[in-house]
Amino acid sequence: MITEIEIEGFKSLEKVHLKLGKLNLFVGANASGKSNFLEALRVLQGIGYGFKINEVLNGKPKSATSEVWEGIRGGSRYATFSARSKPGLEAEREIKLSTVLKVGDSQHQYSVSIFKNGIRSEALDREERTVPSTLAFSFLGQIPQSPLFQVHEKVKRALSNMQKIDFDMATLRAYSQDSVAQRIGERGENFAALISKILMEERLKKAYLSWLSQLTPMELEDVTVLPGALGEPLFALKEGDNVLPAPILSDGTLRFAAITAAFFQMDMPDIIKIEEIENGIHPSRLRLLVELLKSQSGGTGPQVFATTHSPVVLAWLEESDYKTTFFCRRDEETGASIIKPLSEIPRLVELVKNQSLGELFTEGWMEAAF
Amino acid sequence: MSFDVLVVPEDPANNGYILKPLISRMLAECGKANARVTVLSNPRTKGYEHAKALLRNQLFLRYRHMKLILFLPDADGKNREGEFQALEDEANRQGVRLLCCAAKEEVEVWLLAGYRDKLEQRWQDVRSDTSVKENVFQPFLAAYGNPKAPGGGRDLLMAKMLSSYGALLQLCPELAELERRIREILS
Repeated sequence: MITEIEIEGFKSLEKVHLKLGKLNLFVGANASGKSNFLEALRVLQGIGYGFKINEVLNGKPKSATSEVWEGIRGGSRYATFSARSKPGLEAEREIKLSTVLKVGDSQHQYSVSIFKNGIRSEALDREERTVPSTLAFSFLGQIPQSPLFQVHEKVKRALSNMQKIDFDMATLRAYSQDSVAQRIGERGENFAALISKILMEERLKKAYLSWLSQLTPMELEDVTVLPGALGEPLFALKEGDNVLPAPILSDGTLRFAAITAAFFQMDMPDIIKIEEIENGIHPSRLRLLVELLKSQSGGTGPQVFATTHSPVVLAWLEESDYKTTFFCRRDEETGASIIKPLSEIPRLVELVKNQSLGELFTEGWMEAAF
Repeated sequence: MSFDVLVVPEDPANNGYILKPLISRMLAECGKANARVTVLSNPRTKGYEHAKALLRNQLFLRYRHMKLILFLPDADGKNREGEFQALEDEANRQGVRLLCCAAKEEVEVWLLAGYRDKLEQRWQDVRSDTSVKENVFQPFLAAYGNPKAPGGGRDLLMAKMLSSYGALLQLCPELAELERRIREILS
């Protein structure tokens, strides 16, 4: 879990420092910096995989050891922050990403500096203090037997174990290639295969079906998979005697079913990222989505980063969630994104006693509040 | 034509998982097996007084088309009869059929009634505990719920407990009285 992050010079994030929780929501207008924040996490994930910086930023084709890696939007050309008032002046600026991570019981600090032609990373074990200074790492960190090398590898493993949820409806509606899967793909690959795995455990199956039953007004009797010619599975729901295969289910039902399944993965990623969580889901059911994210990211669940434009999602947050619900806006002069937790917006907590947080967001109150 | 019922809880966040299956079953017992039960979630009620004010100021007008509105808050150790009567009279004047019923002492007790054999406390003590949610229900849910399910497994527990619906009415007489009043309206 990333407990703290500092981003400097990346896209619209000139300098952002955030303390994070298990569920982190990013709200704000279009182009306010929400997606750029998630892309910064993607950069860390790519570095965690051990890709070269050019590959991380611009993409990488499928290889014998890795799947296709999509670069960040705009690639390396638009990766660095450039102030509106001084366009081009900072094109050579370095990008710095610093994180504090909790891996198991230990805490580590991990920093990456990205230059035009490469990266330099530093890892520190915060508790064991095995590193006297960051300078030591550049030498000791190269030796596989050294504790420093192991810390470095541990941190990189944790960062790479990140999953972006960007489901494609056609993929969710298709047969899975595998008959059983421990994890769903970022585009929804192996959705039905993961469901096959969930259905094998009665307790998980009941819980999964229960989420779906809350979503739909129909009398949902069961969740199942239909076998194809070669036994490959297709997701389906049962309503009475009717079997409803994935191709005829609504986008919203299917998307919710897949997002829910992501929290039932046997091979659970450390971090799940979801953009615009409300997409395709009826406003009256967004309460359920908020509950899903809050309950399943708690305890031993994955850390979640999600963006939203929905005032309804905000209306279902509690005051205790405000510390890790971040409002994003752009500074008019520099174009830099300013990201602040709701708990630090003056007067907000007082105002929401009498007015819905969603209304304040819709009115644009937060834009001018800090 | 569907029989639409609106249930107004004190807080829909978790109470809905208990109230929706319970009221659906109660209506089925009263001959309305296909009733459509909606637990109010927007606007979101935040406690007894807020829910009461919402009923008066917004919901009677907005939900006049409902066949029945049920207000099901916690009793919290208070006698709410006078307030309920005033609220029902006001609804009646506005052409709304409202029935109020307070759970003694909190809504979670209606679920616990099906699991008395799993509780350490005597049933009389459970019924009279005004902090039953913290003292009894939460430890019970931690032991017998399902953290992967919505509401920590409340809906799954409720579905199972409704197989002993008859016993529930005996253990919670306020529910027996609510069922009697619904039957009266439907007759």
